[in-house]
Amino acid sequence: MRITMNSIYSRINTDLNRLTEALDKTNSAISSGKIYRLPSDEPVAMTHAQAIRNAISDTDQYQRNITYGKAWTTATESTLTQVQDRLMRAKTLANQAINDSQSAESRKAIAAEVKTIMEEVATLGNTKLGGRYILAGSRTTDYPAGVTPLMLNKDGTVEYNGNEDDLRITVADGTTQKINIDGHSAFMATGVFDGLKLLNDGLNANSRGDIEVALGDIDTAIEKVNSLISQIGAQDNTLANKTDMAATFSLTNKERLSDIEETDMVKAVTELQTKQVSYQAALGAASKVMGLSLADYLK
Amino acid sequence: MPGISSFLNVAKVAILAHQNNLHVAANNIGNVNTEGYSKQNVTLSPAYMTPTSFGPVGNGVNVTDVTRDYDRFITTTLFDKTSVMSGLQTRQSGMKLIEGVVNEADTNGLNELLSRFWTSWDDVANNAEGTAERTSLLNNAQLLATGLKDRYNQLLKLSQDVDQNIQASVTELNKLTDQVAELNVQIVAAESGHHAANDLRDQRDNLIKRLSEIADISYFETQRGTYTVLIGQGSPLVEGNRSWHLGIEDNSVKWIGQNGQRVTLRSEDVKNGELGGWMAIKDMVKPPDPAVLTGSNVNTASGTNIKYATRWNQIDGVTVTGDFSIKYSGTDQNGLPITGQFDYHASPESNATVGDFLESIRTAFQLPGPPPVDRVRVDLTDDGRIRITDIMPGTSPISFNIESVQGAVYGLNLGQFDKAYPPNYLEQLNTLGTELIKLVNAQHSQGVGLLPLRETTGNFAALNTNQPIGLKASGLKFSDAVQDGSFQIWLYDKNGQVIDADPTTPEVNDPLTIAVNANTTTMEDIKNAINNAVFGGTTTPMGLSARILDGRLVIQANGTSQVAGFGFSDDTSNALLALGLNSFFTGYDAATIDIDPVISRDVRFIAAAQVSPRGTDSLTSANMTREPSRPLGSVVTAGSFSVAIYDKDGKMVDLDDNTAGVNPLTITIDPTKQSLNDIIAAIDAIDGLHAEMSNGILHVRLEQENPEPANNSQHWATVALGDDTTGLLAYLGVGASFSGTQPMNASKSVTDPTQALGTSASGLAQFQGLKPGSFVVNHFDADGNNISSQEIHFDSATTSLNDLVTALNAVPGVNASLSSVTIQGQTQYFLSLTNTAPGQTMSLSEDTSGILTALGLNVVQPELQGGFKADRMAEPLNNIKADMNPGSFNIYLYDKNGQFMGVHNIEVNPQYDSLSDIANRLNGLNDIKSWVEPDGRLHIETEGQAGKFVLADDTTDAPGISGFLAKIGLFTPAGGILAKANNQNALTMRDLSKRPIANLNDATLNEAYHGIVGTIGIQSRGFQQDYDFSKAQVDELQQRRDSVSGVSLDEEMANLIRFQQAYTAAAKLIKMADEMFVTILETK
Repeated sequence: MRITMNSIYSRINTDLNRLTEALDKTNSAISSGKIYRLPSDEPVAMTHAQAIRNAISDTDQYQRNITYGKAWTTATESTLTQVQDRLMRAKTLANQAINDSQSAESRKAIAAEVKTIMEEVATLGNTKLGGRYILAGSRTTDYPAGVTPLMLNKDGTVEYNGNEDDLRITVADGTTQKINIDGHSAFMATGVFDGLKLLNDGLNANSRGDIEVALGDIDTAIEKVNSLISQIGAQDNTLANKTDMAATFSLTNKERLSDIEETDMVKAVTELQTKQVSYQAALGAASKVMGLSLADYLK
Repeated sequence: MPGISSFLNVAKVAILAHQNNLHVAANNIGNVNTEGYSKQNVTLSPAYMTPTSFGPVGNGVNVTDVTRDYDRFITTTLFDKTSVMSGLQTRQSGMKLIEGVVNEADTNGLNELLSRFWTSWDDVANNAEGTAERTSLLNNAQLLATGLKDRYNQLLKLSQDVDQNIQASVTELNKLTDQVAELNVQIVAAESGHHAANDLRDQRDNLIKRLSEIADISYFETQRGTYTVLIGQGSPLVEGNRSWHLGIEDNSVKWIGQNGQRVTLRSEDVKNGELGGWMAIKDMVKPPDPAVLTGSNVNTASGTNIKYATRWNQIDGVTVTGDFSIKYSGTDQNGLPITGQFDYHASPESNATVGDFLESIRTAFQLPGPPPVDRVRVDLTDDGRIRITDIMPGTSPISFNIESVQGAVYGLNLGQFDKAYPPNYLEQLNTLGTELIKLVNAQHSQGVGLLPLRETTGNFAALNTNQPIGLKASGLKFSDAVQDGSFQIWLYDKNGQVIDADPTTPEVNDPLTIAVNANTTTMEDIKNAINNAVFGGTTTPMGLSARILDGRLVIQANGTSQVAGFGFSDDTSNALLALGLNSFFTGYDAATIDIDPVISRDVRFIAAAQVSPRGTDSLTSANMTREPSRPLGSVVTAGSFSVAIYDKDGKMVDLDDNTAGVNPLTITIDPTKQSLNDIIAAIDAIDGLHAEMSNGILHVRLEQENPEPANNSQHWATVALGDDTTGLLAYLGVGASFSGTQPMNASKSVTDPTQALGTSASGLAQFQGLKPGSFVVNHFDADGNNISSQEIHFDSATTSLNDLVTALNAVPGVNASLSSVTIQGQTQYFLSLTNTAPGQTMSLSEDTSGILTALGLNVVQPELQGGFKADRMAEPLNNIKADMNPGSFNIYLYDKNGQFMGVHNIEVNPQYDSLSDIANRLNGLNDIKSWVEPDGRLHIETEGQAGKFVLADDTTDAPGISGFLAKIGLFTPAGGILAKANNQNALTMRDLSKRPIANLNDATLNEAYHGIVGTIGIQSRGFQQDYDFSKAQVDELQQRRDSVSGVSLDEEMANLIRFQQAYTAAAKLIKMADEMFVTILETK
């Protein structure tokens, strides 16, 4: 076949072009760290990478949610534990007061301490975290002046102004977790204040029978609060588990992402070397060929 | 005859010939880099011979022709393949531009924006009252909307830029055809001497090559030597000296004929070449033609597309079993509604075709005549879709929707008509935007922000407000999402407290419910329903006004009632979505998406919360009942009761020194002053008797060491309580064991007095502990002597309550009777014993069967114990209040979807019913579980089908009397409350990101976007690979052509030397001839 000058030059052109393109691609993969620059480079890999990035973003959010939720559960658990402590103190007082050696005056003195305990428990019920009441259900703010979720009246009755809603956070795809205990479940349904009020009234009226009944009530209340504490402790544990899971997922996904889209540096640099060598060889050959011509040999 | 002159002649022609050779070689060398140049060769042939006597003698050489090396087959093939390569190259570069718009290789693409949008909702959920998180959500939403709109606009701009490229290609093509025609003329003229015009032909070939690069042409050479160039299905571009042009009109390439007639080139005709490439790219990103509506569903009949004449039952997947009708609606060129119906009758016209339906649509859009004017053309596309083309465009684009297919037909799906099908990338991005808007708005519209709305304006304007909002004829964009259902509007006062829209049910808060029927409810209807709303049971207007402004619905609180704001919830009809009320995004697709200005101005209106629903699934009473077994109405009134003591001989001991005879001690009670402790102290004051409350239970016992009365040697043996007019004994659960004047009432009942008491059939609660035995009825005279003791036998297996009554009545001085009460359909029978002997007292003793305790009576014994706990023993006894009248309350049940299941009425009769009785009554209902907790709290919860319950309609209350529900502290959430920290809507919104969407082929939003990016990438990759392959082919062909027609410098160089030598030799001939002449001339 006749090889004309045009053929030679156009061949050199095409081949050098191909080599530079390949070199450029490898170079780009190394400098950007990713195996693709445009979707057409690796379309399927890009689709997977996008999906994984979504998953990572979601998991990161779940971890943020869990951190927020844990603050709540920890605060709630600590508050309820303190309530339980106060109740234990009240129980001790009641046991003391039941003793027949007590007189009306000594019982009145104990009543004063019981009243203080009631006030302390009411204050605990109005615990805030970051400016929001944690034991008021979903009515965490927005109370009129002078109104709080738990209000202890002078006569010893208690009003609960919050609601019984759950507060939930998203901890995984489609899964929410309750992070709070509402005031009704914690204080009204457990009989905490009923027991303390009965004790207070019984002490003030020097009615041993009432003190005895109140002791039983306080015992029941302690048990109920205890089970609430276990409940919130379990919620706390679940959150801890979920956060571990989320962290593991995140790690796995990040690994998968780097597998899919990141350049294997060692392989890429080796390739770069190889392509460089090829390119240099091609350039050398081209320059040799381009310099030859019959015209040089004719005098 | 050969001679010197002929010799000279030969030399002369030889030199000239070789000069020509050299010239042509030089020409070749000079043109070595000329594009499309074919190597030229000189054809030499010997000159005409001269006949001589010794035979013909040659006369040198002649240049007969200059030819070019040219292979027509290779050239034609090369141009063909160049066309293809050019088309692919254009496609590839165009795809790269498209790819650039959706490039997700870096991390700031649309995918990231979508992700951040969804996760922002979680941040808002975690602190629903905060404003920082809301502002952040708003920012991310803004970035998302802008990002989507930008990408849409970039693709749109691309399609416009491509238009310019197309125009440029067509212009160049037209110029080239003109040039080819001109060259044709020149070549024919130049070749009139029967020699090929090589350079001109090369030029012409070059033009053809450029033409091939631009478009898919075919060409051939005619006998005269002109080229005829054709395009498409035989439309000529160049013929002889005439050339024709192409033009771009209505987005398609048209061939423009001599008389101005137009022939549209099909897309197969312009597949290759730059023109084809740009047209293909444009197709991928061009916006749909608003004048053409294409159905989204392809229908086939026996595998090939349906045609005009296809019968309905021939369509694949469709079965027709009887009459059916297709209802459709839309808007015409002026925005006016079009509605119509196509009816198919199974007989007699069972040969009705698809074409009849198309006709029906065409006539629906006609302008009435006479004669009626067609405004649309309705036909079927090549792949089987219905297509409606607007042929008389007006002020608004036409719209069309098939509203319903009803009747005896299955599987008929003619598709949606709101986009161009099949969708290109621009359309897919648009659809993504539409689905995002629908998804977010549908959920957002049902929630509430941090404060109630004062006013809301719909985002969508209806073209026809008196058309049902569920029909396309209304002009609403999302009319196809509307279905039969309702939505709720909750009312709030200026402090954000909920106002009950229906005060006739005070225990639950009611919203204003607007019912929507997709096929009949119009925007006017909704406006009127809101304007005419009154508070339930009254004629007081609710204080909401609605009006229609430019086709948009506007709702406001008008201030005529205490309603200052409102909120939405529970939209099962999607009317809020279609009307654009309380929305998050405005717009309806990627081109128009934006953030609702209400939210932009005030992030408090982001609806992260939901109005709290009515009812609950679990409830524990707020108040504790000390003794759940005690009848709720058990109180202590003024009166007295007696304490009797009997000695070891069975004789009554006189405890009352103030009255003559042997009498028991009567203790009076003044409930206003005395407390339980006081009464116990009074009993305890009796020497020898010890009374106390232990753990809340009454204990009365004889003390071990009882002082003997001064002049009496009695040993006290047993004590009894009875003759109670105050109710204290019943309150403390102490059964009466003696009776003077008052009856002894059993506190426990049976339901069937004819059945044996030891069996469950009797209905006695404690039937199991009974055994056969007996008890004794004693009578005492005024001196306390036991004058009669009657043993009453009891057989647990056979003795019924009636039998007992009979047996007791047989005892003289005893009257036994049964009283009964019916509660909740159940009759209860109570035994009552009275002493009828005047001046005597009666007592019960020695019960070996256990029946007396089981009935709530008692026997005299050394130690008495109460059954019911008491507390507040130091308070006056009149503090014990029933606080409820006989009556009932209702429990409403709702299933897990919030649908009403039923209502049950629970009776409360405080005289007999204890808290446990009420619990049992509730527990007996299906789907409700109820019990009393150990600490005296009533617990109710749902089970089975029920999702929530509401307790309401308490009739046991009265002015000053709380009623059962209030006293026990049973309050079910009334609903409608705005709680700022409620994050229900935000959490649900988060879940939306994972929901598969039908219009996106059941992919989630994120997945759908990934799909678009992936498809673009794969298509681009495909073009790349095809282009690489095609280029390799073209390169190969180019090489082949070069090897035939190209100039090889070495060859030419060698030729030059060769010709030079020949020239030198010929020149030598002349010298020689000259010398020969001189020789001759010098001969003297």
